[in-house]
Amino acid sequence: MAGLTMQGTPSLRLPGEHFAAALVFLSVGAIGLIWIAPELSAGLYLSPHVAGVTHCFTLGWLSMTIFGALYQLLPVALGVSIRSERAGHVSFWTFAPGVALFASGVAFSSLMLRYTGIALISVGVLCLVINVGLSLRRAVKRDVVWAAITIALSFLTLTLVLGALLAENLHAGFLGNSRVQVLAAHLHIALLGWVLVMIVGISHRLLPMFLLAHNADTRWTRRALTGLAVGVPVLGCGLAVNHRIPYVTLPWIGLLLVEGGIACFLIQAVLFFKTRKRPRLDAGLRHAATALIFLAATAALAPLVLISGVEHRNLDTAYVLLGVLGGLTLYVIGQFYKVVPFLAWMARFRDDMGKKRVPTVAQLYSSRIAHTDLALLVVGIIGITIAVMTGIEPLARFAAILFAIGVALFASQIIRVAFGTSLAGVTATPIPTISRSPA
Amino acid sequence: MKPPVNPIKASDKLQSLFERDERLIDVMATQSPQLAKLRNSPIRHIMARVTTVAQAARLCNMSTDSLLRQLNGVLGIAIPPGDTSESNEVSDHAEDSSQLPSFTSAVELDVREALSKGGEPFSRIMAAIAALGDDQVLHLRAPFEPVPLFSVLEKRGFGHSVEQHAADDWSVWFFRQNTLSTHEPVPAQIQTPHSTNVPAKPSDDVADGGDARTEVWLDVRDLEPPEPLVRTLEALESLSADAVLVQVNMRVPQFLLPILSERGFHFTIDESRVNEVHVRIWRNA
Repeated sequence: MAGLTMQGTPSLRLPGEHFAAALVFLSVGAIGLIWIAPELSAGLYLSPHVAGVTHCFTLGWLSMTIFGALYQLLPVALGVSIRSERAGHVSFWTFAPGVALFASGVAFSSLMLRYTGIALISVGVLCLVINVGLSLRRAVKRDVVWAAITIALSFLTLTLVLGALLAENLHAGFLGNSRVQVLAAHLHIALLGWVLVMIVGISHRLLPMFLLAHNADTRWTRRALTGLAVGVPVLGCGLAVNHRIPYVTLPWIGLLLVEGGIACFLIQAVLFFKTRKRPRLDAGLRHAATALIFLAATAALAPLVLISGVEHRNLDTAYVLLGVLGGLTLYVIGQFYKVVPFLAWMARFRDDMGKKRVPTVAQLYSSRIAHTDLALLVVGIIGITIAVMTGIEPLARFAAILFAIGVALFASQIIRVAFGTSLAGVTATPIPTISRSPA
Repeated sequence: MKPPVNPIKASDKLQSLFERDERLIDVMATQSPQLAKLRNSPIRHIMARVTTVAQAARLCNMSTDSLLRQLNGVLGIAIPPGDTSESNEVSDHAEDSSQLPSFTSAVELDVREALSKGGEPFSRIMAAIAALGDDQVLHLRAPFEPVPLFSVLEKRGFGHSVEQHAADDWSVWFFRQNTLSTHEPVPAQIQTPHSTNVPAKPSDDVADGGDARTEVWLDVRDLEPPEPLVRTLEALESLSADAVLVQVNMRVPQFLLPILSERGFHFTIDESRVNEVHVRIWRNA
């Protein structure tokens, strides 16, 4: 696999180790979901167990995958290589154990694990931000993708600062009653500012490429980014301080802007899907399309959550679950299905391409299992959301089990892609559209 | 007693002039449209650091002597005739440093539109230079002869070859100096890559009668990755030695390029069209 490099990309080991660790954290998070199902159904989102498992998803799965994808996609998306591959490895080897220690420290209330974890995470994140930031400086093409990555990195840094503040507060308690407000700000800046903005930017490049939707109007991405870039800080400040100006509070202004940004992103995605030249959607794109529906549902739920306030903990918990599992996790799983098999395919068949008949990327995994895992994940997410909203503990646990089985199937697919050897149905296709140039 | 005032020399950087007297910005800016950009603060900040008086004179097609007299005149310094011999040395230094060597691929960078909109392309050029492989050349298209760049890049080991297409249309090829010893000089035809609105022709092409090469076109825009990669490599396997494959893509096929190099193909990339990239690929001679 070491040979799999394109001009400017790091060796496959760097994104590979990130993707592998991300998969482990997703699996741990899915099992943790079964464990915390009773607390979730009781709306106890401030429980240390819930916080620990949540960080498996947010830091371990979502952030780790984005880190790996950034290293691989920067040269493709922006034509610029990563500044230092070594710094990328340093980032990984501090961030990955950091997340494990921090999530454990939070879940089991261990001060030492928390401190060690947050220190390692900080080093890992700073390495990445500086490394990618320096790479972005060299980029010739400074388009919306460049802007999205830059904005997302800024929000990641802000998320880290707020996270460290909250972690210290667990010990010192200096935030007092403001803790929940700061937590809400931290959560929204992380999920909307860091993860969603990155998704918006990366999707701008990947969705038209995978859907063959080159004729779509692409102006909505810029609008989405503007809404999110302005709205997230306003919403974050509003949630943290709940500042009130005449007739309207800051969180509502922020929410309005963020909702506008999400709506623009969804419109952009719909335009890509509608103008696609590839009528049949594969498993990865179906995961992504389903995730967009969950994202819309989460956005629709947001005003209700803001109106009801912190007293309706079950609604708050369900809202976050729907967003993290349905909107973001499922979308990243969809992109995982597109990117990881492609990289594995490149590594395995690079020397044979053009000389021998090689299988398609889709043949590296089972489409049937992929669709089964999608069904299980969707039922699990819907089930756990309903269970949390209604406070039905058995349903929450059952839905969490379905979700975990879905994750297990997905993980088995990726393991098969990375290490599998048996490939069936190898076919060759004729070379298209070759013509002599006009005289 | 009044201290002696040093006259401005041909080798002085514009920045030192402007620090000395801001009126010199206007003097320089009125010399030519290219130097008028010095009124723009960000551009001045970059350009003045790397441009000497001699280079500026060359940019506006005037003698260094005459420019030096004007500048020194503003400062009230009279230059005796024949006292600017250094200027010619510096100016001549900016001539083509050598002939263009043969290369594996050309990286195309057109900064004409960016400059016409008041943009600052220096960082783009330096980024392209930084990413340049040993066997690659940077083909820069600019509305004027980018003289200041020559000395900047010379210090980094890059030679250059210049061709003027029109008064506001210049081609400059930058290449690593150390490749010179192992490569043949390039025939003259290579220096007009855009004259027929097609991507740059390879040097080997020309040597082999490149204009007579058969073009095989492969449109991969409606194929999902990695099909463009597979189809292109399949097509190349059967490509005859006297043919060139023109891949029409939506973007630069980043995963294809290193494989082409490994398998002994040459290529050029033309990104001059909107949403359409042409990659010309041919076998090594």
